[in-house]
Amino acid sequence: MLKADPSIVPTPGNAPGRPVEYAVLCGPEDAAAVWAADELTRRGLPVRVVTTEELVYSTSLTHRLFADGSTVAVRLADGSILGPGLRGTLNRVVRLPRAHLAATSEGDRDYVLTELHAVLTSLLFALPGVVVGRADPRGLSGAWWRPAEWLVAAGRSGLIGVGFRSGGSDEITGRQTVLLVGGVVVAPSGVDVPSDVVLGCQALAERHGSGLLGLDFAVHGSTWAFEGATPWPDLRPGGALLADALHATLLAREPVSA
Amino acid sequence: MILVAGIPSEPPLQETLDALHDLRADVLVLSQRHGTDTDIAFAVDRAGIVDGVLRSGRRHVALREISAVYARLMDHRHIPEYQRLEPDDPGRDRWTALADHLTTWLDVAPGRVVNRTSAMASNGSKPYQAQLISRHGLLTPETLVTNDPDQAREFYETHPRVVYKSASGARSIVQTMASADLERLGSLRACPVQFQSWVPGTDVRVHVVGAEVFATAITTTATDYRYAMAQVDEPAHLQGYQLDDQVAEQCVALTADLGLEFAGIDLKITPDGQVYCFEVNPSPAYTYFSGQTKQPIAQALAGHLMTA
Repeated sequence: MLKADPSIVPTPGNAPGRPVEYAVLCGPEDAAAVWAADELTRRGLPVRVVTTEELVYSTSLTHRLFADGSTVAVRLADGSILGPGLRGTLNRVVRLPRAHLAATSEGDRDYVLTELHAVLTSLLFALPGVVVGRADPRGLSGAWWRPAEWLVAAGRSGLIGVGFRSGGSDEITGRQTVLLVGGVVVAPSGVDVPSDVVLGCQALAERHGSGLLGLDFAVHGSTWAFEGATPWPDLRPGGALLADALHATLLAREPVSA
Repeated sequence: MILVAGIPSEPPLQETLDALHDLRADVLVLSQRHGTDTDIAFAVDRAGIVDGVLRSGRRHVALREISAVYARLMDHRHIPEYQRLEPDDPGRDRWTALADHLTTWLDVAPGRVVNRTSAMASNGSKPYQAQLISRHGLLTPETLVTNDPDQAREFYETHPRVVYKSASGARSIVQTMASADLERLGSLRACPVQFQSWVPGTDVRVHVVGAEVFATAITTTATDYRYAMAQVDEPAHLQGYQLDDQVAEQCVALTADLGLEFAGIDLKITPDGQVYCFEVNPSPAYTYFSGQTKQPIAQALAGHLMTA
């Protein structure tokens, strides 16, 4: 349940900013996120790209917890507010900016980065509306699982894996990457993904919970062997189909399960 | 077989080992102090099934024979035997690999693991964990996390008593905010801080072991009972506490929902009976409590490992 946040109540000389409705949160180097923002804009969504630097260097970042809910309000550089007005977010935040800590001691820098990570984890998790790439303690835009975890979870999701040995790896040939957003599996043009693999991908994404995955398969003939996955895939190979799925997901009423 | 991993002389491990011994359990101890004499290797097959081998000294054990694990691992870089190695000693790489493989295996091992590394992650962000806690009907103190001095000042001025503490898992001493702290609010620009409305009442530490619950009431005038001697020059008094059945059930459900088998939950019960939850500790040093209350937490933990 969301509550009105006192931080955006108008005060003299501090008029409430325009609320951001749809946001793409990302590092400035994340070309795939910028591409997605462009595609969403073409499809009519008023998208605001918000860099991680804008979040962290905001002059007013507030995150409140109450007995029955939480709020977020971040005043961005142009005065707009990232918070209660959000309806949909593509979260691609993966790292913290640290340029502002260049002059601090190593101990202080480590402490500040640890605290910032904890704050952003909670703040990004608390974003209202639909969030693709929901934050997790193991990744600011979704948990980064270890290779062995992916393979065990894939097996429990009905996928065949390539196998894993601690301390070693096998060379993979014939790799295909499929993208999954909001439960929709998007494969490269001209590639048919077997239906059991589609179901396995969807089950694995449900276990993971971020709402966005890139999944790698070693393909030999008709056999698709799961190799690994990432919550931070390059979105551009998904083209219009991926953009359509992302657009539909962000417009959905029900949030993607966290 | 039950694997106990960590520093065996540390009281929580030692007491659990004693309790397992009393139950005549088949136990393998993996001492982190013997990192260069320990190996673990495992594989995940095409169906996602995990198996491998653990070597500790001369003993080799198939991982499939391990039905339960109690792990209280410390950062291997802080272990004296590791630190005594020269920086370029290959033993350091081996020790690091062991830590990596062991924590990975703990996350995918098929048996009962107390606790999996992945399940412990929520404790790395207190406000994040608080959002999960509130889903279980336990109250969260009104909290403000901000880098904005004006917001912090307003929070201080509109609440009778405010405390501040770290948002991360970094150990910090909870402090009561004073008017003198208002002069330091400019430093929030460099790092947001977590402020919380102070909640009056009785501190209660709840240890959950599977479905068993052990509650301890803590009496002190200190803001942070863990540092009672430093803050008020008197030790905290600990006493067994009878928890309301519904609250006990909420604690058990919260522990399970976080993916934990064993947890130390910090509650505060107000004079009018409201129950606030501050934190779920996924690796509780329970002997601090059981040493004074004589609660059989180690025995419960041993029993939980035995029934896996």
